[in-house]
Amino acid sequence: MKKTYIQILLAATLLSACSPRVADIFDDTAVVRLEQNRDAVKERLMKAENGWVMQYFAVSDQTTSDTLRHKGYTFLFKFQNDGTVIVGAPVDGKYKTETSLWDIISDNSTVLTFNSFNSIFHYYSNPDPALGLWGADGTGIGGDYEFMVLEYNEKENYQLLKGKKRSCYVRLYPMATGQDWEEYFTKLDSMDKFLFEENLPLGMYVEAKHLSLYNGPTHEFRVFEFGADTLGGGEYHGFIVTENGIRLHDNEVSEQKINRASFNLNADKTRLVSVLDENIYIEMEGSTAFESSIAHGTVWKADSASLTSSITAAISTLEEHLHNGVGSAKGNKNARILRVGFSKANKVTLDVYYSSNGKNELKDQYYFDYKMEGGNIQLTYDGNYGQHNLINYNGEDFVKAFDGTYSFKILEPFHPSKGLQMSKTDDANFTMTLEQ
Amino acid sequence: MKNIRYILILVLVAGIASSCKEKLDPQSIFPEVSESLDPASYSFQLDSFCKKNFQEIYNVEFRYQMQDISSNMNFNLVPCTYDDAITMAVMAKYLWWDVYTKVTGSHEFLQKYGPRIICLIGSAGHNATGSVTLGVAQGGLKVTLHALNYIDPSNVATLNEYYFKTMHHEFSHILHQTKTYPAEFRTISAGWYKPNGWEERSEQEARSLGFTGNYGSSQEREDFVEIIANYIVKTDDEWASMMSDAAKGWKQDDNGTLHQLEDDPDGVDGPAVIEQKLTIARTWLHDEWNIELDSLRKEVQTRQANMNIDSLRNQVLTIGTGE
Ligand SMILES: [Zn+2]
Repeated sequence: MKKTYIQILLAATLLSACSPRVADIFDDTAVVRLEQNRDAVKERLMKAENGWVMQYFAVSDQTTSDTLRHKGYTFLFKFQNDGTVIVGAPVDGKYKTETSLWDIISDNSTVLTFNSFNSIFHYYSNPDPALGLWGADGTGIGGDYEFMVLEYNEKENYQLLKGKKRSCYVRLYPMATGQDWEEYFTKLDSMDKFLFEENLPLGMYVEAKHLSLYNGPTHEFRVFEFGADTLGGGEYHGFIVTENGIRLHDNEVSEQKINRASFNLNADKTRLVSVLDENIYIEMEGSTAFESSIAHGTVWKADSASLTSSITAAISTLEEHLHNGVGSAKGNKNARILRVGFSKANKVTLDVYYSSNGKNELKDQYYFDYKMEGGNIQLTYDGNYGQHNLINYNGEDFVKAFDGTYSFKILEPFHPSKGLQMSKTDDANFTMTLEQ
Repeated sequence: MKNIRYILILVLVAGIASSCKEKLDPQSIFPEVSESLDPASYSFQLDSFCKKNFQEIYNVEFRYQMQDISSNMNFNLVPCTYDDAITMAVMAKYLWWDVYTKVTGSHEFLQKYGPRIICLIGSAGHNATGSVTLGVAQGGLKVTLHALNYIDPSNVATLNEYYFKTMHHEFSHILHQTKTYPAEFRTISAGWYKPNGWEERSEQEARSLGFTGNYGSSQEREDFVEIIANYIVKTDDEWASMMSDAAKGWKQDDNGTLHQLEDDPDGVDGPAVIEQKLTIARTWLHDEWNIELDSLRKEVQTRQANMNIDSLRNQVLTIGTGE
């Protein structure tokens, strides 16, 4: 090194105009203002009696699937006057708290920093490859622990923060007084379970657009235009499950006007509605639930008590043929139609369960073409079948009675398995409730 | 620590770019230190210790709280724990500041030439290649020590090597920048330095060529300070083992696996060269700085052998908080 120590110091001093020192950039009033803002923010954060809920996103890049990095995480914080913060969150599924240091500093803007290591919170920014997350490149999940303190949203009651390095928007909501911290995560788990335990695609309506949201249980939606080929492509959008619903990653699909949007469950729990615009919402659609569940091997059976007159009439006619015989097919007074249902063996399969003696259960299978039409599905018998004993008893007439366009209704919101009602759009008396 | 393939001690020259980034203006390095500490603050004990032992005596800011996540955009870093910061603070005083002060007889020496800022970082500096940076020193003014969250005070020798060798190394740079080392040092290994590609040499191959390790084989000035730093922190056994490597011949095969050779074909008497460099350094420190290198080494080695981390930590933990 040829420069002397003194020369280095001099060079640094001469060139310090390019360093972002506060004094070089702001006049005194600005410095005072920054100082006042810092105190005010500190005061506000410490004032929340039961602490704060942080809705945290690590990174803003959302172009490919990267579930761990894109989904949101919830942390609870209690900022204390002695410079410590209590952090609460589940670690490996078990609720844990840990205390470390925090501060509000001025660094061009007001910055909230978690400036001593907290194994719960810094896990999301820790570069250690030994965590086994991302190989040896030292990126880790890649999150921030220093946040620019932006505006306080009075309407929705949250403090908006922005990660200093990754630029993700993060929110702090005051925690309700009296809410037990550990129990709060139980609440989030219940919401998660309520929305996603059936693992079926959701429909999203954004103005004229109808989107399909897949992979909900991973907390990273894979998004397609409704009806698009889902074999490849799609967009990935991380989200966080909140007390009231979900919130999409803040840098999300802004052209679709759901930027920074929280979606809260509506009163009858059938929809997640954007807090910004009630015309933007997410719901589980019955037709999609029917199609997707059948495609994934679900076997639906109609609840016999739910069958309405047009169906029971068709069943009665078929049973009469069974009792009396048709042509060379002999009659059997004990034969009975037990139930009908749908499954997948080839296209959409109408399963007809029957018994010849009232004890054993047999099943015929008749194949239908199907077509999604908005929220409806059109079924058309294609003339093919698997087991088909009922054909000999004018069964084809019975099967063809199921041709038609159906509307679907999920009886328990987000839980079609507990009851999916299907009705012909042109015959309200052709209605049944499917169960699993 | 797991996964350390090799250890890089990065020493950045305080050139124009880094002076801008690093805010080295000596007038502005303590913008946030308040005059009086708050006894109600959780970190009062450590802050008091640092104020009394580093700031007030040496004008050193001991920065254990992460100040800027983007202070080094090359790395993703996390802070150290408060507890590890205590351990490092007491060890730094015991194994570094107190040593020079004792050997030179006053605080003045470090007040004048010592580093101004010590930064502690919890994580290692993970390079994209998979290597790990454990310390970064910028022109001797600011020394950043990484991987605090992995310190194991029961392994003092390793800690000395990881952390304090970097500081001896960097400090030696400051000294030779102030009073240049003898011209005869320049001739000893001339022709063997590899400013680019020193990493490809193994430690053993470098030693056989008369260096203390591969980084010392990068440039003459690095060679000089590595001789001093290694001599100070290496135990007798470690030094002897290094010399034994230096006496042998080594070669890497195409897979990078190192093999010891029957003879030593490089034609350099490794141990003799290292001894020769050490003698120059020893004489220079004595003549120019009135520092006895062997006293310095003995002080470090004795302290290292007798270190009781709990009693050192008690210097912090017994500070009254006024409660
Ligand atoms: Zn160096």
